Amino acid sequence: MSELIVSTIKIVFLALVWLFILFLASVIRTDMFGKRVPASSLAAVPADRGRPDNHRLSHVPTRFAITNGPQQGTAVPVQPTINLGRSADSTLVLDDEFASARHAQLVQTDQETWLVKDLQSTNGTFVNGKRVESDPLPATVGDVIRIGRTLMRLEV
Amino acid sequence: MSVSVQPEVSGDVIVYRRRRNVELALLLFAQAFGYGGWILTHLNMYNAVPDGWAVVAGLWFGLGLVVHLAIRVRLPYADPVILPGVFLLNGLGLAMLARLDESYQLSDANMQFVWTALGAGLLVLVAFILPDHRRLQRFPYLLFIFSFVLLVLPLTPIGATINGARIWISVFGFSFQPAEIAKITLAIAFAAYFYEKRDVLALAGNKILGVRLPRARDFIPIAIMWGIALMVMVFQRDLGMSLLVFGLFTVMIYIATQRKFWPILAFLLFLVAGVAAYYLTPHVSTRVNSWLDPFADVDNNWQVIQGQFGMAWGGLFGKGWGMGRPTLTPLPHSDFIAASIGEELGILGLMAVVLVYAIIFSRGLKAALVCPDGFGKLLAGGLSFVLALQVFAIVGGVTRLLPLTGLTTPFMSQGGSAMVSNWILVAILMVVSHRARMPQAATATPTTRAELEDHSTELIER
Repeated sequence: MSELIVSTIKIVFLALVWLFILFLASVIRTDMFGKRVPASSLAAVPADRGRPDNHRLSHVPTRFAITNGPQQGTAVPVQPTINLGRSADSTLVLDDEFASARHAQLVQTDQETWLVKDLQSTNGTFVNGKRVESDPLPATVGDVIRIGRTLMRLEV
Repeated sequence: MSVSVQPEVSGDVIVYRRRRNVELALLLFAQAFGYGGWILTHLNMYNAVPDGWAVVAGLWFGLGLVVHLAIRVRLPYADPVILPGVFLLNGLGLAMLARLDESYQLSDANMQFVWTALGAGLLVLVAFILPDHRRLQRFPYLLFIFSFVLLVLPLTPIGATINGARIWISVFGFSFQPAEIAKITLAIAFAAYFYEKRDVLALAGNKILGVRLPRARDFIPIAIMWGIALMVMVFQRDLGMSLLVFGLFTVMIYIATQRKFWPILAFLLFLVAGVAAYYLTPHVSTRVNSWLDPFADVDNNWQVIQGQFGMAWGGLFGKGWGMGRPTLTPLPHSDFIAASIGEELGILGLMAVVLVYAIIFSRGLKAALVCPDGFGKLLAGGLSFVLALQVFAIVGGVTRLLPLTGLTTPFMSQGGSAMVSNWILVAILMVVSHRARMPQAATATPTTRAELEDHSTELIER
């Protein structure tokens, strides 16, 4: 090929490489802030985790899961007694600055219900936004338990 | 207590778009450069399109499509920029190897393509078996032991000495550098350990000379593991890799504790070790001399000098694919591939390559910033740093900004182990960025009105 064609192709190639970099930069620019949507438009995962209808009638929880917070997605199978806290012997070890070492305890009363007992924690335990005082509060499938910034619930 | 009761979420949340179509367009564009480079080499050298151009196009673009589909299915929210960047670099590297094959009458590029396909396959595998990077958090100590075994493997009978360094193993006729995998397992292990201990490392302990030192029981385990890893590498004379692990450790402890003391201490240690190595080992002093004054000893510093001449001859726009003479430099396909790129694509091409590395690095850091969990932050930060430090050390070494260390140019230089491990690294980064960018079911503070009222009554009571 002639010298001129070689040089032209060479420069076109480099120009395209830099065009590619400009494209990358423009994608990064439009990606900077994301899309602002009202939080309510995000479908929260239902407590039955999208089980088919014929299973939904069952309200017997099978697992205790963290639905929000740094440990979102962590879950343990339900047990008659579920200990919550930062200490390593807890059933579900919480990694939350606002949780105490032994923060709360869930004790099963019947097949579907657990009693949430606050173990004199510093920052309190909340069931559906209501603080657990000296009397334990019942919780079943769909009730949201909050400790610090961590949200938990019983799931089918 | 109906099943549908959910905490009310308030306010607006930021949702990242998936942008998979943008990724596909960028990916095809990026792949065109590697393929175009190969075609241009043959046009420039032989005035003819290479044999099997259709097969190569099918394999190369097919590989990209397969990876893209896997990402689309398994990691739909992953960063759209990382994968095209990696394919651009990998394609340019393959094209440059194929171009060097023409001069050497070899077919190294074919093998390198197989390694690339293997690496891309591992990315797909990671996308399928690792839906959540937090699974990696569980076994810091096991990963340390695993990394240690990998590092020691070359010293066992299956090890092989190549180019004076005993850092290879040969299995079934293939040589492999286990330290390349160890750099990833070590990064995961450091991230897991530091995430667990970040508070005690930063806050507990006695203050000495205005600096809060961590307690021995928090710091000693990690120091031992790091020390062992470093000692094995120094013993094997793997200068580049020990520098990498040292830097990784420093960055990770800095991210975890946010104490400026650590990078300062590391820098001082590095200076002391560097000066000691300069005076004690012939290995390091040669490298430093060839950095400061290569022309004093032309025979010993032939490689560095030839690399410089190559880049100077390439100039601003380069000589064009296949038109330069990168083979005059020893090892133009591995250590000095950046010089080969500089010679044939010019400083404009080399700067574009460095910029693409920088973009991948910045997207890794972005994933670390956006990631909701601390382990993901540490992991993405550490892995991006591993990538950046490699590029900095080797491109800096080739361009004589730094003394030359034996690190690989990620995705470009010849070598299967580095290729595979860097693909795994990118795969983990993409998993973290997918997790970080996906809309969280209820990320906004789920304060219900009842709860707010509850709080206020409580305050009045007190």
